Amino acid sequence: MSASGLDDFRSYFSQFIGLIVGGTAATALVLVTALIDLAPPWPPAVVQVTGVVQLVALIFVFQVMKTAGKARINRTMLRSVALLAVFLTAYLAAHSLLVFQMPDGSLGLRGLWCTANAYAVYEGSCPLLTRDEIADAEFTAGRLWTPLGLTAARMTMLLCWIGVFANLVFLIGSFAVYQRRVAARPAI
Amino acid sequence: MVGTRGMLARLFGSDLRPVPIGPLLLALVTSTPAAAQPSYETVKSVLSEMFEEGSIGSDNDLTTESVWLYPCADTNVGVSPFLGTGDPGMHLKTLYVELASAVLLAERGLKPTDYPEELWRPYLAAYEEEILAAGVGAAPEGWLNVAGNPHYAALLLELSDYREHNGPDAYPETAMGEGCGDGGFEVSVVTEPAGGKVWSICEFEYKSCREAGIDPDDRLACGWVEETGVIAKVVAGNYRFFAEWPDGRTSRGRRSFLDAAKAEMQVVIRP
Repeated sequence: MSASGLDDFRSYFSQFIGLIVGGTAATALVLVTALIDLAPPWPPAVVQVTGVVQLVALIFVFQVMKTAGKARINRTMLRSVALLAVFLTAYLAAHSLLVFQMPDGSLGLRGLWCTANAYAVYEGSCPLLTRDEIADAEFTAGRLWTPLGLTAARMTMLLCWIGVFANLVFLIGSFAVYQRRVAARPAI
Repeated sequence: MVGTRGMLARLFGSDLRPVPIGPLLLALVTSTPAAAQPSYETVKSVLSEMFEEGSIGSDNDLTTESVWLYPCADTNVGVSPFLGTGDPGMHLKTLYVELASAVLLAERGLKPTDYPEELWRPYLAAYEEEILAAGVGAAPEGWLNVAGNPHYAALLLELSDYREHNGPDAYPETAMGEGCGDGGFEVSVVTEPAGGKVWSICEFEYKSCREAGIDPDDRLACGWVEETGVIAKVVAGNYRFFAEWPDGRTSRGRRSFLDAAKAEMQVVIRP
């Protein structure tokens, strides 16, 4: 029986996971769980969301880069490294600015726009309120930031997070797709 | 305490929604002279409109898992921001706003569910009637006391029984609601010597009152909550406490609850 395209993808996927588990690259699907302490507080199922995004990116890389030449693969990898650096820097900065710890140890997220009430009380520090100021409002984000401000902060964190992992998959996936082709080429 | 002073924020906040008319009406009715005190029905009707147009939201809008009878919400529209502390009718208006908000919140949580209205309505009506009959003068300052009210306790039991007998999948769970405060933990509040009455307010509301020109130590105007005898108050953050003993001694102070792992589980208030 001849192998289908899905069989080919399955083999590619195994090699991709092999690279990750083998520690050749700095992981992707597995890394999500390793980095869970750094994950955004929203949405609650962020690991699953990230997993889906990574799978889509992996399929995309396989489909588009399967026949790409070395030069194009190299360009993709370079672009992925650059974007990875940008998204990672942005994510870490956003994490540092927006995430705060609640009394029970769970994490909350600051918003990007204060409510008028909060602005009246904390004009000098809105929207990046200190933890003590957030504690004044019983750590209830909805009292300090507008719904739009909270959603904007959540989406900023999520997009940066997904950007990091999507580019990580592009980087490792491109590497895997090229290396398996080289390995499959018959020796002369 | 359900209320916060976020109403003004919602009115004029930067969420790009049109300015709703409800708060303006409320300001109008609540700023009438004491002689022309707005009726409870008027205040409730205006608040209802504010709920409808979305200028008041609550935790029930954010979850589909269960219905809170007394959720955290920006309902302390308080007449206070519209008035000065010298208004002789202010406390009654505050009572009207707080009571109507509490009842409307429960109604709005239960109406979209399949629980029959004739099942839950009488309990809310009885609670409303009881509080209105007591009024500001007759009732203690912790008048609303929703969480500890027997009508609400009976309502929760009734809803729970109904759900159990009519298919738990068809009806959402109902709960009292823990008021505002995320990531908190429970503490008990006691006085030493015993017998003192205790009130609290979160620091944000205290500062908001001061910002709005309201005396933040006016427990009625600023929405202090009576905590006397509370054995499981959920706390998170910074609070002001005030205690008063029968012999006239008082105590006033600020307490912070910032780390559950290091916090003491009992708040002791001394003169």
